[in-house]
Amino acid sequence: MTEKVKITWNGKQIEAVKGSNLLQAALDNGEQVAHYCYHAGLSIAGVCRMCMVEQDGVPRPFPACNATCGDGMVVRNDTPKIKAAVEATLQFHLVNHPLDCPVCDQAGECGLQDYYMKYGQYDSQMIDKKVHKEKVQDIGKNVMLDAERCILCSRCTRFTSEVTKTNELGILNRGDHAEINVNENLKNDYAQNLVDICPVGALTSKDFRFKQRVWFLEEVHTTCIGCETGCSVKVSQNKHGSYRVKPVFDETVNGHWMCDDGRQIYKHVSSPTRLQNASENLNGLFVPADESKIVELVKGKKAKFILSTSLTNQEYANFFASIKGSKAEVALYTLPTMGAEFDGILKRGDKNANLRGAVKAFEAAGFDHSSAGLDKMLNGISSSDIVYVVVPEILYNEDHFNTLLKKIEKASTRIALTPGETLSTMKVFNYLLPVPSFLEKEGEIVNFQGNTRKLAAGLSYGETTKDISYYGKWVNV
Amino acid sequence: MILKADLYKAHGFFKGTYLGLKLTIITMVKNLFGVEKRMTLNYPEEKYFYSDRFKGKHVLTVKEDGTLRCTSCMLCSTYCPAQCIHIVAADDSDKEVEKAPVSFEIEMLRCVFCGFCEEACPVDAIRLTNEYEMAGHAEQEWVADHHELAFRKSLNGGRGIQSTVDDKDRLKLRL
Repeated sequence: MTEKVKITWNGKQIEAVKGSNLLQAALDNGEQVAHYCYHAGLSIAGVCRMCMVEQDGVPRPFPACNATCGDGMVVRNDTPKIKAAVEATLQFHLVNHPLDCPVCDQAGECGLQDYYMKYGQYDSQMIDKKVHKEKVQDIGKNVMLDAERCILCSRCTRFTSEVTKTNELGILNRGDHAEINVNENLKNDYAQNLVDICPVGALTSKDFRFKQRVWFLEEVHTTCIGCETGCSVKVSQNKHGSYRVKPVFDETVNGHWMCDDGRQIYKHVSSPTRLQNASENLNGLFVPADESKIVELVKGKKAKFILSTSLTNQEYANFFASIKGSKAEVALYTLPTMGAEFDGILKRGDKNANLRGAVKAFEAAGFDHSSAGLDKMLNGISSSDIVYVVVPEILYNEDHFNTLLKKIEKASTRIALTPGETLSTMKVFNYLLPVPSFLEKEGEIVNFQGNTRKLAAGLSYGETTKDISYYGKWVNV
Repeated sequence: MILKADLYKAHGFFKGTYLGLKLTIITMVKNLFGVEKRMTLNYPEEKYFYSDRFKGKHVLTVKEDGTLRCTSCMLCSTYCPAQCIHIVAADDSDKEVEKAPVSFEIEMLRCVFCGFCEEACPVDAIRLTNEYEMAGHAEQEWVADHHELAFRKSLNGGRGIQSTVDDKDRLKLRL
């Protein structure tokens, strides 16, 4: 049903699909409507009563989230009656809400703060004390619950019943003693989405807890490289580091959500143990080395390259273009499958973010990308070779990678190009070279659907190069 | 140097000199015999007293139990025009407190003593005092940590200054 209808919203003509949600139609057209319980990815609850509108011919205001678009509707939400209704509703929401803003992580992106400044600004009429509920509850899966701050919009309970279908959260008790809580701790793999959809500070992230204030952060809209799904995400960061990953709505891939594993992908980028500059292995201890010295050392020797699947299409293309005509051997290290192939929502077992891009580039250049090709190269390593290993950005299974490292021990010089932390097993390498992480480079990757997903460059933390032909440079020397 | 040649021409050398130094000599005589109060102090033996509104060295107030009043909401460091306040927040074991600073540092050399931090603070945790003597040598001395800001000797002998709004009062009222 894609029949378009015309609605008059505050005297302005907007177009919407007939029978679609009135609130969503207004939001899509850039109209400002206060709402807490409505979320495009969840069912309609109609409990917060903030999105009230008036329609011509209808005697009373009604919530827009529970109305559908019909032809010729004349709707307003800027009348004094609606403003009074929203303010009164907001007063009720804030009756038992504690004054926690200085200690609350949500401050700065809180629905209550925003709407109080916009629609409220009243003096409290309450003479009674606020109802006290339990604070600082760890309900598992990196989620912290503060029952006092909750306004009972029921987004979180709907999320656990509709999206993950695990039903951990529920609203207990009645009246002003009503609160959300868990029967047993959260057990689903999408629990961090609860933090995102909570319009107030009732559910906050334990990982992000008290690390930064949100107004110090800038967001970079990029793509998750945690698995082959390639969810659209934004990473919050400032000059001190990266702090969190949140999903961005993308209809074609991830919708509104992302998995908890994907929330961890930022960690190596600004980690204090991340490799900052070219390093040399001195009896197991890595000390800074001069990159030009390494260039001198490897000059004229046969290069064997093991690429990872977390590079961008542009990096692969550049690499293969620059090694054309050289005798270098190239193979592809693919990460092993972790868990189920597909968990039914978003998460996929194949953790190779850009396997399709890599395969395409290998085939175009005439190299073998299969694991047999990798084995063949590993078996053929002689003591005169120089082996380069591009370390995968996220190693879910370090043991699997370590078996690869054992096989390259025969080579005379072993060089790692790593975008992440220096692991203890990296002692097998003679030299370590820092390369940009996914957050520091622009480019494209191809996800499991074959869709091209964009990586965006945010702030840079290491002294890594911005040159995407960096990988190819090591073959040319 | 401006020599008023006219004075010598009109009055001769001695009278001209006297006329030139007239005000200085009168003030000196007045000060010698205590007719007029001197404007200068014999610092550092004598000290000037600034009013409590003077914006001098910062102080972090403490609660009754002697811990920092600061909840590390970061409003002061957000508001600070010199960006000289650095706070690291962490979980507090007390659920009623929830968030407390593990480190609170002010770069004294960067600070412009505008008092915005005092204004921004929602809990009366930071104040500017009338302490104006801040001399030191190495640059490192100029980063004041929370031990110095809250518990230096000049503040009740190291016990700190009590905050006017305490958590207990706030929780009692439940407003």
